[in-house]
Amino acid sequence: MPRIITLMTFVCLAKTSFLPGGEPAGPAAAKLVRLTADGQVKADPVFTPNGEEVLYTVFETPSQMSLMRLRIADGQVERLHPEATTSEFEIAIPRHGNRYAFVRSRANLNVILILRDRGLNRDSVVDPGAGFTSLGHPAWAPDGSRLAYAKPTANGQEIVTVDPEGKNPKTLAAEGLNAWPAYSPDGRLIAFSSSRDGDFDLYRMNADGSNVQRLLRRPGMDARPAWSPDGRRLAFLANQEGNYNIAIMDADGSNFRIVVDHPERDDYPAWHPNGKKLVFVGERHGKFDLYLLDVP
Amino acid sequence: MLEIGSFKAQLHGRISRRAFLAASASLPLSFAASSRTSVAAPDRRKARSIILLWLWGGPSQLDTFDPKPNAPANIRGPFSTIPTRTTGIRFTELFPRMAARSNRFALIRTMKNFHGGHLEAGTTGLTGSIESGLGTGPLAPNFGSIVAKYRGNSDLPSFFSVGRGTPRDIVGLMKGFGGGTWGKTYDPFPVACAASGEVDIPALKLLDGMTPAVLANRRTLLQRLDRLRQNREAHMDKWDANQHRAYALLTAPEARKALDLSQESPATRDAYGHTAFGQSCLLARRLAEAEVPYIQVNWSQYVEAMTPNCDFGWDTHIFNFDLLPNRHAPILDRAFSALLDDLQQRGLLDSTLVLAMGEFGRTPRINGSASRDHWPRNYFSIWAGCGVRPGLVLGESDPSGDDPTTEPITPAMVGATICELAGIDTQARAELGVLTGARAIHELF
Repeated sequence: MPRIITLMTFVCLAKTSFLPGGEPAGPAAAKLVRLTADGQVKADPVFTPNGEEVLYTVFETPSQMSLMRLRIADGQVERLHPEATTSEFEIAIPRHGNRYAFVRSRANLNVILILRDRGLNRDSVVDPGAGFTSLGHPAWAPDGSRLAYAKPTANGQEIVTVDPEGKNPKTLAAEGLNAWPAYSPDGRLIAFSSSRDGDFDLYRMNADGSNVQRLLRRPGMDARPAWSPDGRRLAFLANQEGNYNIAIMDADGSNFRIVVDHPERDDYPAWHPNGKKLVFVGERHGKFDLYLLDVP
Repeated sequence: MLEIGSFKAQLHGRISRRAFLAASASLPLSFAASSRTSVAAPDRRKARSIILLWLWGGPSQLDTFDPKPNAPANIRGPFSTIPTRTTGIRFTELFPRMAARSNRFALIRTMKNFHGGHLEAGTTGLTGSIESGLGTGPLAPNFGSIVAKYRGNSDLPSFFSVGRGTPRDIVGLMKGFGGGTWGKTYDPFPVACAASGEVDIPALKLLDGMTPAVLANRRTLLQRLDRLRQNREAHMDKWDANQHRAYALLTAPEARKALDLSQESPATRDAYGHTAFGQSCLLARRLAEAEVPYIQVNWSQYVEAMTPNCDFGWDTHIFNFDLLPNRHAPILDRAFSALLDDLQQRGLLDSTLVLAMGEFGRTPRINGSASRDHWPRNYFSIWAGCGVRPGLVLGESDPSGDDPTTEPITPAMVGATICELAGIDTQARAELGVLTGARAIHELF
């Protein structure tokens, strides 16, 4: 039986209500909606293409991460895979089609990437082999024709793409530690983070790996880029002197601005398909929940 | 499902040390295993309590408190660094709260262990004995067992282990978790603390009928205790030390309050973070407040960072650069900082030593899984309270973080320092037969 939590109402919280005082209210202050209330550590939320659900990872028990499904309309939360007995995380959904992908902990310090075709009820697997091996950060091309992911190598971590069966790998980015690929809505570009010039910064490249451009030059980790549905902006994690904030900039790296600046942690932004809202994981009072932010 | 062994008391209010100690003193001495063998000594202790945050699995030194931003890419890692309150010292960007408090604790950057395996290094790390870790000599007692034997003078536990169970990896248990050759009497008293703050006492599960509902109802509690008392008299020879201690806890309701996090304000609960480690640190503070001599808070039971049925330790052979920013570092940063603030605000920091460390560090060179492997040659420890010089950074590692360039600080030196603060001086250690020849880290004071 899936575990179901029903939230009868979303709790609308003005930003200033989170803190005992001292934090100035910004333009987005009154536009945050809390979507969950269990407070468990969460990660990697994504909207389903119709915008009706959010899928995300939760540290459900002391020893297991699980994929969860939140129905926006009534706040119901349930396990995506009720039968899962080992950690599953980092779910990725293409804009079109019946597929999704996620990472599964298979054995001791060993994970695999599962590409699931819901139409054919079939799984394909990217298997890095036995021993201590990993991969992660899956991201689909909008049409579901390729899946990009981060693949560790002897010299760092590459961005690699495979077809929907997990075959025909192509290496796109190989210098330094490369992570969190994200296809643009038209499928022509991939944004990603890389440590090639120091700490994690944001870059973008053509979908074939050519024309790599650095988008930002700022101290602090910039990670988990997410394209707006119109392809004009990127939301991402921007660490500023240790504080995890949600930032937005134009797709060419201009107009950088912090949109969620709270003394506690904000991370994992993902766009609503309407391009007017972001879901993210916010830490408030030491508890982690999903929040929805209106983005002008 | 029967919930024997877990409870959430409904009482409110802060436990008084007097009440806790009075309750302890009223317990039958016949069960005072620790008091039977305590070494009589003058009270020259400075640390009334010691809290060890055991970062099991081995945190990376480079990605935490000894970053090497100018090292080659295959060493430095992908994290930026931030300034701290200590001039010239930077941490990685994953620890902003601790960076803002660096002037209130000391950092040792030149820890050295002697084996690259978790179980071996863990045993050495918690006993100070290289031979115990290697299995070439008798199994020395945990630092907590030493303090408990020397200082324990009540039936209530003197050495608590807060966590999900005896530290281990998927291969087996870590031997240095308890009394060693001194026997089970000196093993820690285990309690578990969930992210919700619910405290679980496994030993209570062995005391028939002691459900949370019974504990909450005075009349039924008395009836059950009477039955238990009869049962104990009939079967006391079969009880182990922890069952005796669990019985003592049951019969001392004031003492039980020390294990009840519902006594804390929501703001305090929030400050530590609603994670198992965060709430465990809060529980440790309550135990220190109740003058428990030694509390070891285990980050996890298993070392493994990403393994089925394991609880996300610091052994990041894979996902080092994911788990640290996503989970481990924020949890530690918040919990340690809250503990430091809380102890200070309550006036307990002068009499409580807080120490955070793992069994070793991780390879300076990034491995083929974009992560880091075991590295016993150099790692860190963090110290606060009891006269430790705040803001001190002791020792220096080489430019790649491979080795100390100053005198290495060993687990035996850690143990000797703990003992000195607990009032167990060189002579007393010699009498106990522990940590002989090891010097205390006097540079910390």
